[in-house]
Amino acid sequence: MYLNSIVIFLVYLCSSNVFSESSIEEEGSGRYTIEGRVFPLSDYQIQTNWQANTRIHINGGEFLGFVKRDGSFAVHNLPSGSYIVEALNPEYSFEPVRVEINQKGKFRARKVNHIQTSLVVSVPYPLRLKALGKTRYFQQREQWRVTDFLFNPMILMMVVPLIIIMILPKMLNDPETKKEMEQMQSLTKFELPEMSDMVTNFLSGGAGPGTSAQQSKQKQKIKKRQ
Amino acid sequence: MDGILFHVSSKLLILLLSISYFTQEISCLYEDQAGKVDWKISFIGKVKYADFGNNKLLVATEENVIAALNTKTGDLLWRQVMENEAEQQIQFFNVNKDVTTVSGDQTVVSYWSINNKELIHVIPIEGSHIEITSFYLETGEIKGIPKKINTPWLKDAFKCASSKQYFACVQKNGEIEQIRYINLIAENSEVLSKPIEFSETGEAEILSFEHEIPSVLLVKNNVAKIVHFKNDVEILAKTFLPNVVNVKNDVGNQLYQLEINVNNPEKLLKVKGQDKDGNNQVSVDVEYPKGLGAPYILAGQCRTNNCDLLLSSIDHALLFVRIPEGKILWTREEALSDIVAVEFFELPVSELDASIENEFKTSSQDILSMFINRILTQSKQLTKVFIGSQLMMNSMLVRDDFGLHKIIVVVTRIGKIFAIDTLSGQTVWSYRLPHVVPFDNRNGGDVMLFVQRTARYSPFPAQCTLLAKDDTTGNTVMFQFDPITGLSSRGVVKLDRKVKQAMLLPYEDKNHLKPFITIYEDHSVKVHPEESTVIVKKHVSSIYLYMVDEDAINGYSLQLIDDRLQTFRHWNFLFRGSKLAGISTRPSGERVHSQGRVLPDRSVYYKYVNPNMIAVATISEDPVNKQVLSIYLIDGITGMVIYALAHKRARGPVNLVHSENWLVYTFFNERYRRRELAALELYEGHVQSNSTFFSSYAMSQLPQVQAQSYILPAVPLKVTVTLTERGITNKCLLVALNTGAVVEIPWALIQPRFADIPCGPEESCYPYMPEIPLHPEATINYNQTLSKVKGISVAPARLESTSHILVHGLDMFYTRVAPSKTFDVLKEDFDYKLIILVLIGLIAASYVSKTLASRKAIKQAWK
Repeated sequence: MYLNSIVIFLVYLCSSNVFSESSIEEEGSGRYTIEGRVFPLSDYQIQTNWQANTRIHINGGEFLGFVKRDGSFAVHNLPSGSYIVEALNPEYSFEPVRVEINQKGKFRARKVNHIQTSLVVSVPYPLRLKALGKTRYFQQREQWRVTDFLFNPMILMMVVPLIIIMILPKMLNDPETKKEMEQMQSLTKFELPEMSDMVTNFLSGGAGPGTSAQQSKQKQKIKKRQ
Repeated sequence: MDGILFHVSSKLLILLLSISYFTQEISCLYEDQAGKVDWKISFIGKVKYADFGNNKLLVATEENVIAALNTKTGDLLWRQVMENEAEQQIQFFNVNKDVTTVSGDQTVVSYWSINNKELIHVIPIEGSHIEITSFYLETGEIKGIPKKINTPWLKDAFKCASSKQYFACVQKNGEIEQIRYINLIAENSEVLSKPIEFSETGEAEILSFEHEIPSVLLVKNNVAKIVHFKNDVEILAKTFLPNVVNVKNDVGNQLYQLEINVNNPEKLLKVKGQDKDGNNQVSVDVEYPKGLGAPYILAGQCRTNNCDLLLSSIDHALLFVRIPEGKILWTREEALSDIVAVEFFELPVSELDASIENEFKTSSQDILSMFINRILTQSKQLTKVFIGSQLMMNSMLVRDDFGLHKIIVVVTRIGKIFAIDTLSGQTVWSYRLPHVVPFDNRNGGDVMLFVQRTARYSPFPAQCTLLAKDDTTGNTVMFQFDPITGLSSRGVVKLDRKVKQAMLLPYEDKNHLKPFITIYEDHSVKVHPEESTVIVKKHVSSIYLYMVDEDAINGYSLQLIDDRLQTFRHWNFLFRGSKLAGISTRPSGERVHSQGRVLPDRSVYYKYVNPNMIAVATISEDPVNKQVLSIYLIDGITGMVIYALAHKRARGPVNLVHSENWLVYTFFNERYRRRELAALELYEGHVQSNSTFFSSYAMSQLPQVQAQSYILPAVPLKVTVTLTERGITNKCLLVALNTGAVVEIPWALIQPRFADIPCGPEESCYPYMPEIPLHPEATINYNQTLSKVKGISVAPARLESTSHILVHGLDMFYTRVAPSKTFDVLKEDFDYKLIILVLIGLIAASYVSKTLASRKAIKQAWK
């Protein structure tokens, strides 16, 4: 119950600010200055000229501020109201802050929360804007690694059969298994047909491989007779 | 049967596409890709003040920019963009050791470092009367108390000028004109006056003038006299031109002015230097470029034996002239900082390709000549293979295979047309249209640029037409040109009337030229070119158009009465006191590839794709809700409001984007004080009424609308959508933010979700997130900040995956984006070497293993 009443009060306050904006402007009185300081990342990471490249946008560029050498900034001539203050730098990202100036000239700063707009997380004023980190605009390109290379399907395709052919038989030095292997090999023995044979066979009238074998045997016999 | 087949295939395609949503998110850049296809050119705008200091040229411009330029090359050393120029103009600019500016209504004095754009001090000044505040620039401390001066004698503050401690005004007492001035820092400052002795007639004006002695320039009827304030006011007898500039050199002061060189047609400009008594000392002829407008001197600097002058032309070009050589060292085209129309053009095919194409066109030839032709073209192809790129270098503007090389034609506000090469960012040609300004009505943008014929139809050159307003008469001017070469056969044609609206028609005549019609105040219609009137008359029943007026949108149809074309009002949409905040139609030439969306139960939900739809946003004042934003979807043919909705307590600016069957708009929600982005999507339902064509008259039921809104944690300046050749690629929104970033938001992220259908990776649907995540990786311009973005132009490449993007404003940035990544070309880092190595390795390995195997077999056999 207590919490609820606070929230309602805040909403009222905010809306009254919005309503009063125009009337204040007409009067031309009550111009305020938002002040603060920008802190870059730790010393060794900063650019040489980061102050000149940093801008302060208030309400998305409605008012502008620039940063001095010591990192401080001041945005002048603001009527009372609610403002979002952001520090912009092409290399670093900063968190925006909402600053509310009431009609009496009292400042209050809080974190920007677009989803729960009534939630208040106060931050100190004058503002202290710290860089969250270096902005990463680019994707990291994949590095060339040995493991990546080895687990490449094409490399696997070459390496695994090589292991099976070359290394496995040597590892199996056991005589019994060797015998078994030989038996297996003799069972699955087949001759790779020679390319030249096939071509000659094809040209010599398309006779089957059996006949060609016979022919060669005959030839051998002839040779022996000679 | 065919229908079913099509059905299945379309479903399959949709499925495939929806799968691709998750495999391909946003295309991000790698660090080494930066600057490979994109380029950025920075501008400063029309220069208002200029001065030399520390070997640099320092300028303040009308775009509210202060910048330092390299005097040798004209390159931008640094640039500081200040507040919105409409509210806070720079009013004073001084270069001493560093740079001082005074700007704004609520005056702010800023003191900038000359070496980098760093701010040293800023001092706010309040008050609306004349007040003297002195302060130390070095420290920013205010010295003494401000001094107020009574100025009851000031009636017309515009006829005043200040020079150092003197403030002077021209005043007219009956017939006698007198100059009244005041020494502001004197102890007892009082207003003194002196009558003006001028033989010329007309009103006297006063201009500020830089000189050692405080002085102003009195101008009457284009003749100027210098007024010195010393102990007494002294009006010099010698007359000058109003563009006279004082440059200090070692000897003394020298006055420079520009004159037109009548005698020498080669060198049009004459720079004349003289001392204050008019003794002629120097007169240099300058070879002034013919394409530029009339120049005037902004600033000058002299050293022992030469002088540098900075000139500006009336079309916002900056020229740097060295005297006594009379040579122009560099020029900057600042007109490009304000672009009003952009069009992308495909380049013509090379001569060789054209000859091949011609071979197929002419079929009536006999076999022999065709054979000779074939041999000739193929021998040319062969020589091209051997000589290779050298031929290509000679004629650079030739179409490439993927349509990645294009020409961008931009029209600037000052009336200058530029053609820019997309590969290099260099200006191919430029053309100045004198006295041509944009329209002041709301129909179709500031100027109208029609593409009547592209370069595709080889013997015919491409043709493009620009319609704009004549500055002197207010009538419309027409300029027809070839966008590739910049040649115009007829030059600027002045029409005798005001064109109220114009429209390009989709019908081509026998020369592949698309005609366009112009509509005048009296509802009469004219066809350009006139020979195409027959075509228009043939299609008269299917031509509709709309016009945006002050208080309504009116829809018109074309009718033929007594063989004359006329427009008749067909419908109107009244604003009823509300203000138009935005209007959007679908991008012309956009293709919708998939007809519907596949739901998880494998049924198809058909899209409502109405090519005639106009999206309108209006803002009306409301006593309870402050401002109400209303969105209407209107059929442009019948005028029927298809859908309407309103947001209470919403404020502009509104950005509207309409594409395919959806609409996206951004606005400011005053209740929660945040920017919001809303998406609407229209569907016909589970049954498609007509799959072959769409008719606005044959509408049986209103479309079903899905809507969803999101928080946009940034301030959008301009929003557009990517456009690809066939519309297969996913759509992406391109949002230019005021932070200087242009962010890519995939449409899948903001597409409205169905309430009753689960959303997850299986349904190829991102779960709803109230705040749209804006990753820095989605910034297409990475760390290159783009200031004051005024527009984003999109054009498809011939490669389906890619679209061309040109972001213009104070910077011009071109890049290519691929919303679904480049799925139709091999990646640029594709490892050809590895693949070749592996293939060679595999072949070698197979041979080695083969010999090894046969050797083993022999061994086995001998055992």
